[in-house]
Amino acid sequence: MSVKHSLLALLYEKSRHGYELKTGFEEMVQGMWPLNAGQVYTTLDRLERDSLVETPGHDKKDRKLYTITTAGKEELWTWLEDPVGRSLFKDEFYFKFLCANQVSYENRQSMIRNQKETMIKDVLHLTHLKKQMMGSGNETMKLLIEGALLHLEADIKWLDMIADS
Amino acid sequence: MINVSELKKEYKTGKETVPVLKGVDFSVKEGEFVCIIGPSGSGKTTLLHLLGGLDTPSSGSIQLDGTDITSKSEKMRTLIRRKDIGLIFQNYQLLPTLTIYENIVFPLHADGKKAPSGKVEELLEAVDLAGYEKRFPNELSGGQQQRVAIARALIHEPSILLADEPTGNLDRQRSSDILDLLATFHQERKQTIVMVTHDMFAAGYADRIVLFKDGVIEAEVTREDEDYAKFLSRFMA
Amino acid sequence: MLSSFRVSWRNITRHKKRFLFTLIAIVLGVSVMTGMLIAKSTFANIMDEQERIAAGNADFRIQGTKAFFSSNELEGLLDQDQVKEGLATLTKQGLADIETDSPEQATVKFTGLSDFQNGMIELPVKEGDVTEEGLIITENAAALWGKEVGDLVSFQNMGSLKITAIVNEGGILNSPKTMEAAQFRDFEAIVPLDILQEWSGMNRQITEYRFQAEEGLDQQALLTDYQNALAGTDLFVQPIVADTKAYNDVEGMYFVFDLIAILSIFISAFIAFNMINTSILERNNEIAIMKSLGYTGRNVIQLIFKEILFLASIGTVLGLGIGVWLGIVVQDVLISAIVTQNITYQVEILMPVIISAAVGIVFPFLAAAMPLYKAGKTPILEAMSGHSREITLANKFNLVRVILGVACTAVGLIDNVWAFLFLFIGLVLLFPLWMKLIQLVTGPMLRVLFGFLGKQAARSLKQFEKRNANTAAMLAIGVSLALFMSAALETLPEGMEKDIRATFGGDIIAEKETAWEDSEIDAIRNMEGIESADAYAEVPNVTWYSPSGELREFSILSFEDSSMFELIEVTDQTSDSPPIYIGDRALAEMGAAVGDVFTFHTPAGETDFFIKGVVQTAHYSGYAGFAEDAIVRESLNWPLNYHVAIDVADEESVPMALAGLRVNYGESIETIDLMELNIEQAKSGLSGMNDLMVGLLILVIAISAIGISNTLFMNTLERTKELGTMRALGFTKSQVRIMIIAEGLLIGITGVIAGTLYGILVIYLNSVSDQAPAFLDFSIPRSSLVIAVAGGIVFTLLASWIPSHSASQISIKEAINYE
Repeated sequence: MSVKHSLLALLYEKSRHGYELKTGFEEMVQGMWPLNAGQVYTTLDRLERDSLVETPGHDKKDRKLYTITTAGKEELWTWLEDPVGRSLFKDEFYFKFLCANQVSYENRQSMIRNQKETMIKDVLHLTHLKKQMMGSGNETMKLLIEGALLHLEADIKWLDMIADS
Repeated sequence: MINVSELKKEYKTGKETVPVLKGVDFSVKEGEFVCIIGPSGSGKTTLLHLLGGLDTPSSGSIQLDGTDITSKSEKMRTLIRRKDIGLIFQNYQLLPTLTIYENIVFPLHADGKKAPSGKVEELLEAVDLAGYEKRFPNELSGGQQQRVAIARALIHEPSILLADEPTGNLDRQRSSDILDLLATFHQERKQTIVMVTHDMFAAGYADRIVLFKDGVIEAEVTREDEDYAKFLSRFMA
Repeated sequence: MLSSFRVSWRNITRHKKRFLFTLIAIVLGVSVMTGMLIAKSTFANIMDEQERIAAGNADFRIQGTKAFFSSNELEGLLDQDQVKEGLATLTKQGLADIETDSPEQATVKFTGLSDFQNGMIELPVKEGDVTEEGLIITENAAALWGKEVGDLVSFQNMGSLKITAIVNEGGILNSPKTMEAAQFRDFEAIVPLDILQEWSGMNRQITEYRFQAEEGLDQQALLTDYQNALAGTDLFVQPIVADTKAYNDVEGMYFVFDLIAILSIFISAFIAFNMINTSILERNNEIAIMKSLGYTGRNVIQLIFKEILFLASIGTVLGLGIGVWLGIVVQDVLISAIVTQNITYQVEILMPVIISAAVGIVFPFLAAAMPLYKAGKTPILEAMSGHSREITLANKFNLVRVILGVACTAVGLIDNVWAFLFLFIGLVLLFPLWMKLIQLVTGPMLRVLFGFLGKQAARSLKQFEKRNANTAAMLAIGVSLALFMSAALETLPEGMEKDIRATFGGDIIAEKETAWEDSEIDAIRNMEGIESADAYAEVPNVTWYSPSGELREFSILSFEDSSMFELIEVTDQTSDSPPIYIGDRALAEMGAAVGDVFTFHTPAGETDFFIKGVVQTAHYSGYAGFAEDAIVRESLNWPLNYHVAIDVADEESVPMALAGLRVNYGESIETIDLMELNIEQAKSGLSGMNDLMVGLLILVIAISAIGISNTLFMNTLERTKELGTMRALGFTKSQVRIMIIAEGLLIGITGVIAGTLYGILVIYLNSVSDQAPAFLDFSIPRSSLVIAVAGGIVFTLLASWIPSHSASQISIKEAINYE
């Protein structure tokens, strides 16, 4: 998954130790994706095993420093260049909807309403976030939010559509 | 800042009397960004027009900074409007024969004043249209026109900005620009804003959301409220 | 297809105020036109009728070069087979035996008739029986003398006679209406010829013998026969001609009436054009939708055609009604201003109404031709998406407009009375240009006056440039015409006075029944207070043919020096024919030019004259000829002078001179004419016309002002959204009002300025014109300027009032939602 590649991206920037990688990651996603330390270290182990990173030494506080290898860089480039397709069933709600119809689920309407509510909550959350980030200069994140909002808009429209059908 | 109580408005169409506002109470504090949201025909635009003194209610009162504008004459309401209120409309309403510069300074001129030097340029800078002074409205895109309208609504530093579906004619991307701009003015200049919309994406920018339905306020929610989204989803058809 | 007239009706009344004002404009235009036509044709009818009555049914008259001749002389001359009926008359002065302040007030001019049952003289009977032999007087005389039919009237040194009939004032008999007027005019009465001959001791003497030829005879041959028979005698024959041009100078008035009629219909058609054009432009989108649904250009035109038909028909019907009323009013004013007697007349309505109805219906269609064509051509997609391809087309059109405008203006500078219509067409075409120029001045002016509002107004006007220019052009035409007319009317009395003074020939002109002897002239010269006295001849009833073959008549006056006329044009050429100078109006009627040889029927028979020059004279308002003394004697066979022109030392000497003339020649003096009196009469006749003209011109300005109202209505309607926005942004109602009034004023002032400049140009062109009456000098009287400018501005303000009010009433809410 992309945790692996985000760690590579962080290491491409500079050599870091494990904890630095965790905070770096959280900073990048504006704290919206909490990562536990264990997850960081298992991922790092796997990267080291695949020779994508190496550990040339320790810092002054004797923490293990990780550095990206040439193979790691190549892996990062390949990943960035690889386009992402969109699978119809990647969205879990799509599947839920499919199954609900399969079993003639009688609470189908409330299921849709709850989904919509959640999405609206997401919208409000994201717009608020965007507003808070106003002037922070984190353009990349704003663009991500913008993209998410566009997806949400389409999703909500679709929910309204299936609710009426 | 704004105190509305028992506000009612009826329209007569032929022999029938159609109530549009059936008793509205609400208030806006200084520096607040309030969004009035509701389905079309719910009376939200009428409420905004009444707040702006563009129309008079059938009954009830609207207090603007302690002054009841409903008891004022048409002329007095106009004078209040051109001092204290900035207006933004869905269809921009730029004056086609005026240049961008002249459009922006219009409210000041109406009041017999001149724009302080650099003020228009500063506003144009803020709405990201620096250098557009000499252009005419028809040379601009919809989003650009609305940004000019925002500059125009703010030139006289109104205590309150009333926006009626400011993003209604714009696509999502341009809407975002406009809303970002309003949010910036709200945050940086503590501009009081009341915005009428049926766009929940716009609503997300507000501190407080007033849910409007069939001429009455159904609910008021702030971001902190738990059932905030539940309410909204019910209103968003 | 939506063939229903109801759809058209709904369309046309969609904007009620605009419809109403356009309708008013058409109504006014049609009614002014109808009124003018009625006044003109009724008046012309009266003139014709008067001429006909004056001429009677007779074909020829025989007169002598001496005042009287014996009826014996006619014996053997007249072939009984040729003469159907004859009538001998004697004209003689007398005094009624009534109490008056001065003897002049009692003077009576008798006409003795040999036959009271003749078919040649038609008298408008009021009371009594005109076929019964006795005294016939007019109603004025009866009223002033306090007599009725059956009463006996006595005349000094003559006798008395019973009144057998009282007639209305008219072509044959005319009496003064008041005793003041009687001071200078004779009462006129008809008596039996034998009684008059007996009273005056003039046995068998007559003044004139008129007769009717048997039907079927060649009158031209007859005339020649009699001319030959009378050659070398004191008698001469003339055909009887109905021509009162010598006494009525009405062409100028007709011209003005035509002008006002044309202008008013032109202006109202323009207002209709503005409305139709706008309504088509507004419905561009609608028309496009119709076409997309299968309407052809033809269908669209038909739809709009019906709308115009509604507008034109309603406007014309209403306009005709008001026009008839207006015509009768104008006619009354005219009669009382020009014709001093109260005469009965028939108002001529049918033809004017038919003409006005036709014009009233057709003109709006002409005005709509261009917009209609455009409507048919409306492109579907562009119109529906709101794009317009007007711009390139408009530029092309503008260039054509300017070129046409320059061409028309050039034509307008040609010296011809009708040419300046082109000047005005040029004005309309070039107006957008003038508008831009003038607004360089008025723009800043209004900005100073109204500040930001004025600036805003100037800007708004640019939006509907063409329409505003057209509207201002209409006002300009009204104003320039008002200026010109009022300047003409202002300078006319002065010019006429100058004219009369220059060409009257003396302070007093006295006409005697018998010729002035040289000794008498000398005696007059020696009378106290008299500077000079010169006898001259006036050869009456000289006849000739106009280019259309109609018989015309005028008098030829003799002169020694040219104190009775001023030369306009003279030729150096000479000819074998004797030279003659012709008055300007007569020359125009003759259709001849200086240097031509022209044939007249004179006391000397058919005679050719060489037109040496054209002159301008107060005598018969230029409807006369002048020949040197010797030529009058020889070529015209007119040896005697019945007139004397007398100059007095100063004005105070006039009464003394008059008294002297009365004492010495009172019995035989026929008329005494005073220059001062002539001037006074000319002026008072004009002042009656003045009020009428000013009234009509104000009407023309009023019609163009309606155009301003209408234009402002359209401008504000199209800017509803904009005005609503301005109100929303903090414009007060009064600011909107002022702004609209400022717009109206901009249009109005532009019109007034252009109108004033064009008015001055027209005045100038007139003053240098050979065609226009020479007494129009180049002067711009201040009062005329005030009337034109103030009238224009006041009407503009009035016209802006209602639109400004309704603009200020625009509901902000609705305006904002207005698409």
